Formats: sequence, structure tokens, C-alpha cells
Amino acid sequence: MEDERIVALYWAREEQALQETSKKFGAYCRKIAMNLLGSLRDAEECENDTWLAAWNSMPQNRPARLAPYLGRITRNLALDLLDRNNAQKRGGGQAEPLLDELQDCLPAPGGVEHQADAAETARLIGAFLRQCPAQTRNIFIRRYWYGDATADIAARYRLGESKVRVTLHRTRSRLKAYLEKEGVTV
Amino acid sequence: MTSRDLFEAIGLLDDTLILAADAPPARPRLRVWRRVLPLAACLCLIVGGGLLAWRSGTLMPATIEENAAMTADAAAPVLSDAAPKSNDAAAGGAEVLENSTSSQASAAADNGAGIAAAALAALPTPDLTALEGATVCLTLTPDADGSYQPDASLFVPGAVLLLADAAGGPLGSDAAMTASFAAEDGSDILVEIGVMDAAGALTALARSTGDDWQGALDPDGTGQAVCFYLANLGGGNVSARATVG
Repeated sequence: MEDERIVALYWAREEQALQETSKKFGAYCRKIAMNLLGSLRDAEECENDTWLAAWNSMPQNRPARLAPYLGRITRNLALDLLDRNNAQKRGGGQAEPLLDELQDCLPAPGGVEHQADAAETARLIGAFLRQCPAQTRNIFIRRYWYGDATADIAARYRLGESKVRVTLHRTRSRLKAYLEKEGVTV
Repeated sequence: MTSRDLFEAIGLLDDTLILAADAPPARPRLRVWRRVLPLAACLCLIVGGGLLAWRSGTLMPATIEENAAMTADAAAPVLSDAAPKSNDAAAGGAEVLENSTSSQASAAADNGAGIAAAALAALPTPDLTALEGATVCLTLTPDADGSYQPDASLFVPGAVLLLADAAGGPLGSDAAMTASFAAEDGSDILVEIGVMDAAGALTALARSTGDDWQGALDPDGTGQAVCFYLANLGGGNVSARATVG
């Protein structure tokens, strides 16, 4: 079913929307949650929470593309679940190493012009990524948006895992320099 | 800003970037040489195989003699299903019979034709299909002394001239025959001469490209008929005159 029809079902408060969403995007969202959480049970819980969050958010929103929309919800829910799991000392997905890696991108602290909000930072990151070669850009997004393991990225693009790691490292370094140049501070 | 903030900010990237990263990766295009290499390998195999076959003689051009022998074999007359037909050009006491016989035999080629056959091979192959059914049968009536005296002069529209004993018996080995042929347009004539036995099998007597022939009518004493296969290589008609005894 087309995204537009599924969204229309949400807006009409038809429960078929949940079935169609699960059918079309279940694997997609489960994979993202699984990447971040490393637990199938947690991923399934996150997936179900995603449908509920989509159901609750849809009357206010009318997303043109459901995949990124639902993926974002899944990411956020996965991070929340990760926080809860960390409090209970559970978990073992990609989220922790992924967040560690992203520290490389953090601009240097200092009294510079402004503290960017998330939307502004996202805009700057998007602008930076558009300057990168397509494969570099996709590798970065696969890693930090979808939460893919480097081995999975390497297999996807038929590259060596070390090549993926080096690409990610260089991209993070360049992103940090770019954000600093744009005046973003911690 | 923390790495968590950065992670959440990345979560807000444009949909187009997110969807593009989820699209199946494009296969890297093969370099030109990697596309050409299999073709080049096939070409090498074909050329190599051809050279090998050439050196082994499979593809060597045949010599004139070999060509001639092959042509002679191919041109061996097949008197199959020759439906006899009447021809009232018989003269000198010869009697024309219709449907007197048919032949399933083929004359063995005389591979010793040599240079004459080679020259013959250079000529265009006659269209034998046009000659089908042009069998002429002459019945030979021996004189009281047993010799055949038909002195037949025939105009044959190509193909087969068949001489047979009127009594149906053997022609007799002592009968000598002289035959002369002429193509009305002056073309070369292919002549195959054979003797047919009672079972219809044909034994080759001779093959010639000349315009006459002399020989024993029935050297084995078993022949029922002597057959002349005449083909005007120029495609025209042939006249034949046969004298027996």
C-alpha cells in the first residue's frame, strides 16, 4: 500500500493503518531498533511502541514519507529504551559505541557565538553531508542514522571493514571541523 | 552539546538523505577491459581453434585431384525410379518400349577419371532434376546369328538411355557396342555407362566425357540392359546413336 493511503488510514483513525504499517515497515523499524539495542526482544518492544507513537502522532503530522518518519520514532524510542536499560545495566547494541564515536564530531567548547539547537545542527550536518561523495555520505548515514554495524556497511557496499572505519573516522573529523567553522559550540 | 544531542540531530536529517542511504547500492560499473576480456578470450579460442584445424588439414583446400574425385563421386548417376517414357525416335529396327523397367541402382564412379574428371569438376553441375523421367528404352532384337543389330539413333532430352534385350534374356557378353553422343549446343557431355541385371542392380562399365564409347555390351553375360546416363553439362539436349554387334 502506498504511504499516502496508509497516512490517510491513520488520519481516519482506521486500525488497518497499524496492520499496513507493520506489514510494510516492520522489518525496517525492527532492524533500526535491533542495531541500536542489540536485543530482539527489546527491538520488538521498540517496534510496537513505534506503531503506537505513530498512531498518537499522526493526527498532528502528515508525513510525506513514512519510512524516515517511522525510523526517527524508532531511533528515539530505542534511545529511551537504552537509557532505561542502562539504568538496569542491560543492553549491548551499537548505541554505546556509536555515541562514543560521535564524540569525535563534537565541536570544541568555548565562548563562541551560539549554541545550535537540534534542528539547526541537523541542517548543518545535512549541508556537510551533501558536500561529501555519495558513498561517504551513505556510509555515515548507515552508521549514525540506521545504526548499522561497520561489518554490515562493509558488506552492503562491498568494501573492507577497515575501509569503512577509516571513512567514518575521516568524515567525523571533517564534520567536526565543519561544525566549528559554522560556529557551533558545545 | 553531547554526542547524544548530535545523534538526535542526525536523526533529523532530510528524508531524501535517509532514503538515499537505504536504497540498494549501485553496482560498480565494470571497467572496459573487464567487459572486453571475455570477448577477447572467446575470439582467441575461435582463432586458435581455426589455426589448429588449418594446420591439421581439416580446413586445407583440397587439391584438384581430390576435388575431382569428390565431384566424380557426387556426380555418379543414380538411375532411381527412372520412369521410362516413350520416344519414337527409334530407328533401324529398334522397338521402343514404355515402362519396361526401373532402376534402383547407382553406378559406381570411376575414380580414376584423373585430369578429365578434374576438368569435368570445373564445369557447372548439371541440374539433374530436370532430367528425371527421361529414360528411353530400346529393345534389341538379335539376328539369327545372335548378334544385335539395332543401330539405334535416338534423340534424348538428357538423362538415361536404356537398351534391353527384347526377349528379356541376357544381352550376351560377345556383343560389342559402339555408341556416339552429341550435344546439340556443343557442350560437354557426361556419360555413365552401366549394365543392369535381372534384379535391376546396375554395374558400372565406364564413365566418360567423350562423345563416343566402345565396349562389350555385357561382359559378365548377366546383363538385361545397358544403360547410358547422358547429361549435357550445358543444359541442352543430347543426341545418341548406338550400334550393337
